[in-house]
Amino acid sequence: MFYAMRVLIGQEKNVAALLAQSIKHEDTGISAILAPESMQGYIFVESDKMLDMRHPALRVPNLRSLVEGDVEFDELKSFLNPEPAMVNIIKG
Amino acid sequence: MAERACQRCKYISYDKKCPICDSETSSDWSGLIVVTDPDNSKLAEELNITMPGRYALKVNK
Ligand SMILES: [Zn+2]
Repeated sequence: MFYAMRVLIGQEKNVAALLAQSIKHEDTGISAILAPESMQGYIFVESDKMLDMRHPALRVPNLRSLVEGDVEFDELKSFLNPEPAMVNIIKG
Repeated sequence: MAERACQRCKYISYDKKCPICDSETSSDWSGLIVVTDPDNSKLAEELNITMPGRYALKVNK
């Protein structure tokens, strides 16, 4: 499952890195955290569990709240390859 | 010192050569994915990431 989280604008990358550190030895189900350049004020979290924001490991500075509902994988795909056409041309 | 991203595997480090694949790195990168559990991540699978760590989404030369 994929979830969106609201974070302080400008702190997307910092929050993603802090959150990754914070959950390292915790059983949150989180496997990846995404901070696309074009999504100001949001990060995305991949997890095989429902996220409980009361979990102490999810309390990191500048992380504001969980957006209700999950996000489709296809919606995130566009953030992963910002220049797919170019890559294809180069690789022939 | 600015962080750099590998031009090949996009792994983020401070090094001129990537500590993972030994390719050239660049200071011109954007977007971030932190992979904590590559074996259970669809995002990591999509990006062909097999090692935990921080990776750029886009790297310019
Ligand atoms: Zn590399």
